[in-house]
Amino acid sequence: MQDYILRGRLLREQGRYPDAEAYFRQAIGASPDQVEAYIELALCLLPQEGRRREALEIIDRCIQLEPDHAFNHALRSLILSRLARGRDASAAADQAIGLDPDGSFNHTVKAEAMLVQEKWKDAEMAARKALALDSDNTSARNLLALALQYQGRNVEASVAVETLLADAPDSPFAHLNAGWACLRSNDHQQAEVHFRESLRLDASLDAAREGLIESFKARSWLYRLYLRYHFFMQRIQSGTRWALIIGLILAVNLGSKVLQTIHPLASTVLITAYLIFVLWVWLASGIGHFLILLDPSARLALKPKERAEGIAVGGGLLAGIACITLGILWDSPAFWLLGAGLGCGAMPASLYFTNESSNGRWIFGLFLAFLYGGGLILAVTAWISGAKVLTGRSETFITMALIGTMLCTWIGNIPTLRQEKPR
Amino acid sequence: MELDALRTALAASPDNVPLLLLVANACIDQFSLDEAQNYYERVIALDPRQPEARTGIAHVLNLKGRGSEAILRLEQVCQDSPRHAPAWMLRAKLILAEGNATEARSHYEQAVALDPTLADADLVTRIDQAGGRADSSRRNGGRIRPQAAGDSQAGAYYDPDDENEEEDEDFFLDSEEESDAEMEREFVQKADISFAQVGGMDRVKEDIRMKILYPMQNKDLFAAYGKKAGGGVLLYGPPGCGKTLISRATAGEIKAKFLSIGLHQILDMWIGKSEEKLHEIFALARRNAPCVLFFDEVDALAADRKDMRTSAGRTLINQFLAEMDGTSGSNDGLLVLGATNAPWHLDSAFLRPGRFDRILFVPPPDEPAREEIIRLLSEGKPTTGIDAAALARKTKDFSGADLKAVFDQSIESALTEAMKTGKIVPVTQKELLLACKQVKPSTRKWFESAKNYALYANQSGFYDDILEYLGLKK
Ligand SMILES: Nc1ncnc2c1ncn2[C@@H]1O[C@H](COP(=O)(O)OP(=O)(O)OP(=O)(O)O)[C@@H](O)[C@H]1O
Ligand SMILES: [Mg+2]
Repeated sequence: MQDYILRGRLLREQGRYPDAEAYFRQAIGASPDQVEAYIELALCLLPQEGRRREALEIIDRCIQLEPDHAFNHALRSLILSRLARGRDASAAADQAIGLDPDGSFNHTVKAEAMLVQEKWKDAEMAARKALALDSDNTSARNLLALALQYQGRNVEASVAVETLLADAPDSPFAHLNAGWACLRSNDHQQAEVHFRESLRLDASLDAAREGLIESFKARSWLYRLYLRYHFFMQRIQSGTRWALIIGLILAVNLGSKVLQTIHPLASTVLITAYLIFVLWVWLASGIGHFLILLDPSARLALKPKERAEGIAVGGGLLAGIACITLGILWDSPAFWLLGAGLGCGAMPASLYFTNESSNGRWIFGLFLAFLYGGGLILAVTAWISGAKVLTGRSETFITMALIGTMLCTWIGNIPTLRQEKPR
Repeated sequence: MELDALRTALAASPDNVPLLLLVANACIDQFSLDEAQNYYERVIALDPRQPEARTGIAHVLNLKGRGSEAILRLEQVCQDSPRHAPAWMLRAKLILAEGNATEARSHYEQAVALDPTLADADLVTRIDQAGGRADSSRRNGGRIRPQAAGDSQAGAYYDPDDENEEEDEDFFLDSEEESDAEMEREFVQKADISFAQVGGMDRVKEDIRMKILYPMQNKDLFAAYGKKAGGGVLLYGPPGCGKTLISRATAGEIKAKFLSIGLHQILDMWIGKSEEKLHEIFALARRNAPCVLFFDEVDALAADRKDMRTSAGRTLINQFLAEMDGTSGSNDGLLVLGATNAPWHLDSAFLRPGRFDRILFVPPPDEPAREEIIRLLSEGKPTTGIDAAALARKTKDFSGADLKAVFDQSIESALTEAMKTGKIVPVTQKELLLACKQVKPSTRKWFESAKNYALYANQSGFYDDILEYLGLKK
């Protein structure tokens, strides 16, 4: 039985998870209350996206068998963090720390749980604790650098990243981290170098590929501005974030009323500027993907869904604007409708293709289908009938499209409907 | 009823070994011993070393009351196929019935070590009791107890230092002193299939001819042009696309010895930290030159040393490098063939000149190749109206193994149907097409990660074939 575990562990360390899993299952079949085999199995499932729920079940069984073992709780915490269940992860980490306060790993998983909850300061403290207990803990060093970055303490973060790179020049994670640090300090060229190095060391590290894409997008200054905004929003607590968003809306409202008394145009300018800002915040990433699509070597890095997003957001917006222009020039409601569908579609598209939340995908996907389908059907009918003015139904469609698009910018902020992959 | 259905199925494919075994086992369950024996014998006629059938015959003999003959046969099976757990298990039971508890326990443990699912608490208790009684009977001053079940009391006086047992232990524990013959039994690949049984893969076959077969067969000719016959060839590509199969077929094509080392044996080396074993394998190959030494899943042995936490792990990798370099003996006429679906896990040191310096990409089968594989898969099976070309068109991105899964699935449902009706139900095109929808092509996922390696870690053009296949490079 021990033999199975040994073989499985070898395979797991080599990243041959399915083969390893078979051995661990055999070991469990041979003697069902062998904790070691369960732990190994959980460790084997953990790196496989989509199998973390199983990993959680397995580790729960381990804990039933061996409730006083700190490592079991720490592993449970790690699994929960990867499942984005920060609060539970934190509780599990505390249990591990309670059982073994001097275990560096226990504080490391605590740091990760805190990062998942966006509690950067606590994450920093936990990572420092882990490092104090074991200065060779590169995971903790990675987490520390991340926690500092998220707090916007870029200078300290750079130092932490340099130490990390010096300690582990062959670690793909160190370069991943360094890449983000560079992006934060606005150096997209150096960021690209680090992301490429990270990928060279481990081409299966998807986060590095995503970083590389960000560094491509950051070639445009408009996107760099967006990144600054993004990093700023990341830095503050989610409560403050909401306060800012709502505060801005109120300010724009108030401002426009005040400006109205001075000159109606001034108020329109303010509102237009605000709308452009909102659109830019929401569409920057998708437009960035569209721009990458135009670069034959950079576009290889895109996954199909990112390509689709680029086409639907950037391409849709461009095509939408073109259609509306034609509609105005030719007085053609058909182009108006087509333009409204395609252009407004950019918003739900930016929330559909790369969204990890299935509820979110449903909502934004349905709206996207409504815009494309409705726009097309109405445009075709308008074309055939040769009408010169919008029908009542078409007007309703355009109103609904505009209201829906605005609504998207609201409900897109609800965390459960908009999950990006954790960075 | 069920047995009848099986017999009918057998009538349709009389040389189907798994089916023969299935029917034979079913016959035993119904106590049709002669019939069972007949089926087992048919298997043995097809494959004289088939351990399941040989064990089955022993079982029948025992049921017929010829226990000692059965034991003799089992000894043979255990010697020829030492990894066949059921033979050890049956041997344990029969030996226990003979009363030899200690030997029974040793066989039992052997069986369970090979296959833990065979564990049998009841049998353990009986062995324990038999052994225990032996002890207590000695304490009782060797009083002879009444014969309860046949002549099973002999074991009560069994001497644990008996020669027989020692022989057994030798066989398993003393691997260092394994003779050539034993090593060969473990590693020599039977030349049982040839290129004809491998569908498609024309380019790979041609490459193997040029890079392996001709050089090995015309050593001197190649030497005249300053070319070596040996060296290292690495096959890589997505899983299930025939790397292992084509390597086995190479053994069938070549007129040289072909030693094959699989993942299990590689893992054994890791666990035993046994550089010595690796050295012995190379030494055996050198003694047999010209010889092909095939490492399947070679990435497990040639792993990146960076990934190895323990230094013990590195030693084995270093040993492998040293053997490939021929530091401890000339590698003349020795060809090392490796296969892997994760070439990126290989330590880059293995790709330097003189090691695995000839790289062959084994791509997924294209449409004509799939058609050929489908023909091969349907051979010898009850089918009707199969349009291989149409199936091949519908199975883009399927690997050979995926196609096999399609067939397995359809055959299973046809067999279920056959069991119900007791008649042969052939596999139809419709069923195969249905199965095609259920089996997910497995090569896409591999190319997803391979693409990343090809784009970002393509040092010295190692992955150019992948880029070409994906149309990313002309
Ligand atoms: N070209 C082929 N012709 C006939 N059968 C094939 C072919 N390719 C694959 N198969 C079928 O698929 C099975 C699996 O193939 P094989 O074990 O050779 O794949 P592999 O490339 O070694 O995969 P892995 O990388 O997972 O080891 C074979 O046993 C055979 O049944
Ligand atoms: Mg194989």
